Amino acid sequence: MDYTRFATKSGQNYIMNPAVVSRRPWRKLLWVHQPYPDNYVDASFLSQLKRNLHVQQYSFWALSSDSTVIISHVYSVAIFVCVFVAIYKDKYNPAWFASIGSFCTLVGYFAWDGLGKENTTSRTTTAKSAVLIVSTLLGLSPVLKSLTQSTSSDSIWAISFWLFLLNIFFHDYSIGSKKTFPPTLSTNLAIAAATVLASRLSTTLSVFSFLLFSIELFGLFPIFSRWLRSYSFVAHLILTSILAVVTEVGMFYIGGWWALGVWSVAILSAVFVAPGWLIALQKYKNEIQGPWDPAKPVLRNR
Amino acid sequence: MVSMDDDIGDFQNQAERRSEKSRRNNFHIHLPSTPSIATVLTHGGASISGARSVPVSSADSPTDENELKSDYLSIRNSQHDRHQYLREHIRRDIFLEKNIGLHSYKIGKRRTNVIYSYDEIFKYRKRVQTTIHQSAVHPSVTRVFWPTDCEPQSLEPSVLVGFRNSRSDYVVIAIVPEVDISRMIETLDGRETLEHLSGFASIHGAYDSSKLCVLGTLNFKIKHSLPLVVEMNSRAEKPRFRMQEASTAIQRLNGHAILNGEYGLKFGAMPFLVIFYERPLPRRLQYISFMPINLELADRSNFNTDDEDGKNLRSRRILVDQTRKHTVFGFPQMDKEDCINSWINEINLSHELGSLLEKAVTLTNVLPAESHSLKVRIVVGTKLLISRTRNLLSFLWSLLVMAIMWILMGGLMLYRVASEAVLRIIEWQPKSSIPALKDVSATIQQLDLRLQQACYWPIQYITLRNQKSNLFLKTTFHPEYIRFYNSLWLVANDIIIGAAVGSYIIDNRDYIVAFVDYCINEILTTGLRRTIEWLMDWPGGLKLNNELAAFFGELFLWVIEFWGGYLRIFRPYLPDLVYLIGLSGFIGATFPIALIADLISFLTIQIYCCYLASARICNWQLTVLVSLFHLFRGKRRNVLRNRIDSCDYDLDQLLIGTLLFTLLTFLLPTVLVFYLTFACARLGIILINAMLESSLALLNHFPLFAIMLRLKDSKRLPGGIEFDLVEQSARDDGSVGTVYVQLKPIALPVTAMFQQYFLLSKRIQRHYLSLRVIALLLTGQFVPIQRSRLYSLQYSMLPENRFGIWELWFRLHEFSVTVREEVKKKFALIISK
Repeated sequence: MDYTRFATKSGQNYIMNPAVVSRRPWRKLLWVHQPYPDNYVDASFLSQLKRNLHVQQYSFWALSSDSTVIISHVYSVAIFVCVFVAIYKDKYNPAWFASIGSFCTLVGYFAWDGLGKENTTSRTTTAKSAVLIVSTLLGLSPVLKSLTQSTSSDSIWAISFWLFLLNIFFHDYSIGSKKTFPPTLSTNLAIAAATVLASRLSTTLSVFSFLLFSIELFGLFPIFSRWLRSYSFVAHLILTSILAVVTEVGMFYIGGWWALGVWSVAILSAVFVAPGWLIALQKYKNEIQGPWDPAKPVLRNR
Repeated sequence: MVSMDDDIGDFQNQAERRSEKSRRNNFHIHLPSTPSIATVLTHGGASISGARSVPVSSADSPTDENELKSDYLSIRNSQHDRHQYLREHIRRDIFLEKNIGLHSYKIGKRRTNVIYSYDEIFKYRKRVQTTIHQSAVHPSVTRVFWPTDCEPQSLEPSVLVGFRNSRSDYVVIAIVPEVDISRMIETLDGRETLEHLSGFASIHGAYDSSKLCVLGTLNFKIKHSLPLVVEMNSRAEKPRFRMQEASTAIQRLNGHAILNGEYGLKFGAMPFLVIFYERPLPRRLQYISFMPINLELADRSNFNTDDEDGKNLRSRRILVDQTRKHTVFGFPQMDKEDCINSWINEINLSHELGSLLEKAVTLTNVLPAESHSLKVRIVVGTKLLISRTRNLLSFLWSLLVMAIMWILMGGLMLYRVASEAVLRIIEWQPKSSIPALKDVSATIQQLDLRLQQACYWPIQYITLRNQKSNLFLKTTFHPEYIRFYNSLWLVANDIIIGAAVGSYIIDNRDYIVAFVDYCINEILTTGLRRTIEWLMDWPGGLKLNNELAAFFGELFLWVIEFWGGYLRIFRPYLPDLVYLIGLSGFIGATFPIALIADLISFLTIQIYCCYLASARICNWQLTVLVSLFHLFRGKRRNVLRNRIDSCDYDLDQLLIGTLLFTLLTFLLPTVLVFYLTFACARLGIILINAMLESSLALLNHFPLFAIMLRLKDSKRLPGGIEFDLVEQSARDDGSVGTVYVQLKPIALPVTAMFQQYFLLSKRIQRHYLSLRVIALLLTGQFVPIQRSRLYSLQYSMLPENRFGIWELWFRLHEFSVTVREEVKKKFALIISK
């Protein structure tokens, strides 16, 4: 809007001049020698301006169903934190969580193995790497237990908070299933956070179970959930609601009514309020395009 | 605008007028103190040359030359290697000849003048400006070298003898007073007399004898036809030169002496360039040289060819050569380079030949005249008697020398064989990876140096003796002489200082033993233990991993205790050891120093071991951390292309990698703290040893003799030559008559004597004080101490490969034969008279 006003205003100055009227019409060509001053702006200058050409209108329900993709990852982080607090406060036997996690992983694996078409790795390889990871964890647990003994707990909480935040940011939320694995960085960040947290635990068994659980949650579960997302969106929604229930229960047990309330409000606002807000903000969209746009450099990917 | 155009036009006219003028009669040599080199093309009134050809007053600052600076300057400004550069530069000063000779060269129709300056030589000298008549024909000037120290006292009529290098190029070497021209020519013809007079020295080959002739006269009343006629009214005045055209009659009279003279008519009109010089005295080992005297051995002076320095130097040399090619483009390569060398050679010979000539003239004057007076006969008789006695004495002396030599030869050979055996053991390397003994221990290195020096001395001495008998090889003789006596002096000095140090150590043995004891107990055992215990207990609030710190601490404590046990066994022998160190002072102060350095290395082996272990662990951990960090980011290092690629890892790789990454990150501070502690300790020990070793280098290589010579007689250490303008006179018609230039030898700069030290300090700086070394140290990588490189200084006075036993034997044999023949000759001389 500003642009057009400016153009007409400055263009008028010259058109009002009677000497200019009889001249040839101005052409928007820099290389042609024209009888106009250098700062001359013609009325036709912005005639080809186009606005909001590629803006698409969102529908509320589509947005809110898509937001469940993010929500489900946030749920898994929340579940993880709940499990840590539970183990850290010695409320529950850590082996329980590891066995539940392993059971779910097995179920998920068989579902993925049975239904999935894109399965490339053989079962023996999978079994081998599973054994490798488990035995490494067994070996490293005592070392990890004493790793951060001299560091104060506050710094550990801060480190793990930042690592999880980065994990949530860097997570791959795409809906298609082009890759078999999620991007490495977010997985690594989550595992690092888990390792740091695990080093606060008191017994070797708890360290081992906690790390096993975290690997299942952050290493394997994203693969499964993404596959499920691409397999059937309804199944994804079901999975998300299961996760929601589990998280709510976990929140209740860890933090009581107060935590449950805050959490539920946050989640509900993310699913229902945030899409509505986004749609409301669409009217401020002002995207301009025109023939003067500089050519975009084409970057060739390696 | 109009006036401006007019100005330009005016300027151009002026320039044209100037260039016109320059083409007509003159051009200028301008040797400013600022470094510059410029080629000026004079063709068809080109503006540059026009501007340059205007007579330049001394106030005229060489600003335009700054613009004309070529790339050469950027090379020289890097100030990399002054000495080398100076050498390069003086090579370039071959073109000096062009400045002095003032030739212009015709290339097709254009004429090229070169204006050179050599800042290094003329740096602190006054600016030399010469304006000389330039004739179109080459040569344009008659050049005469005039020995100022040889001018006769009362300016009596004298004959000028010297070299005639070309028809316009004369080097006067002697001004012989009171002698007839024809007698002088006879003397020169009877060269046998000259050679006889010069003793056993052969002066054949030292100069081109066909060039030696009678050149002219000084203050001669009788008319003659020699080319040069010089007149001198008083000693305060400058001699006046005149050129005579050779007549056929004189050519016949003089025979070959001034034959080949094809003096054209033009030569009478040519200006004179008179170069005054003082004849260097060969008896005092003085000489002049174009190049600075090289105090190192030739194969050692560029001992760093495999180094970065060497590479830089070589590339610079190539560049300099390239520039030279560009600058001298179009010049016909004549024998000018030989020309200046032959002048220098002739000037160096001048005193010797001059005195021989005078002797010969007096002999020819006196000997045939039997009918002279009694007085003269007595004088001659006494002279003969003196010479006979001298001959006899020298015969007896050489006889003595021969006898001593026969005894010495056996001893020398025995010594040489024994030292060869020791050297072989010292240098023996069972494998190329295992260092030889001399690379490990400073004492053995010192022993090696002394043995090699002692092996080289006889050969050096024989070379010196051989060259001494031949007077005219002085230029190669001098550096060898300085090297030989320098090393002898240094050894003598070393022993004198060593005796003092040794007796001091022996006198204060108890204190020293107590001190060493304290060091072993308090610093090396208790102190280290305390440090490690402190490290195990969260040092300075650092939060280390308890388990790992305990592990490291116990490991290093064990090593220290282990070595402490051995040191306790060693403890009772300490007084004897100190006594031994004191005794070793009597074979040179370098030995106690080297022994102390070795003792320090021996006592601190445990620190070295701990350093090695912790450095390995630290480096390993850092390497693993870096590659795991790449994995953490989902990247990996591509070794083949030396870059970081993205990579899809398997899930299990990712998980285990991340686990290990977190683990190692938290363990890193602990490892780093232990490593840095030992690295600092090691650094301190290296510093102490480096100090001791640099004092060794000083004692072994200080250019003592050269500095003494420099103070005593700087002409014995020539560093080049320079020319100063003294005066220039005009003729009646306004053209330039005679230009007087003084040739002065330049003494070798002190910096050039310490060249090796500069190189060494630069190398040390680059190897040990650079960021790279700090980075290496922090990452726990091995910081190499290249002892052999540091020691290259110490060996720079020795040849690369020592002379073998057979070589020595042959040399000795040869030498004995020459001595014997000398004795025989002397004997024959005595018999004959």
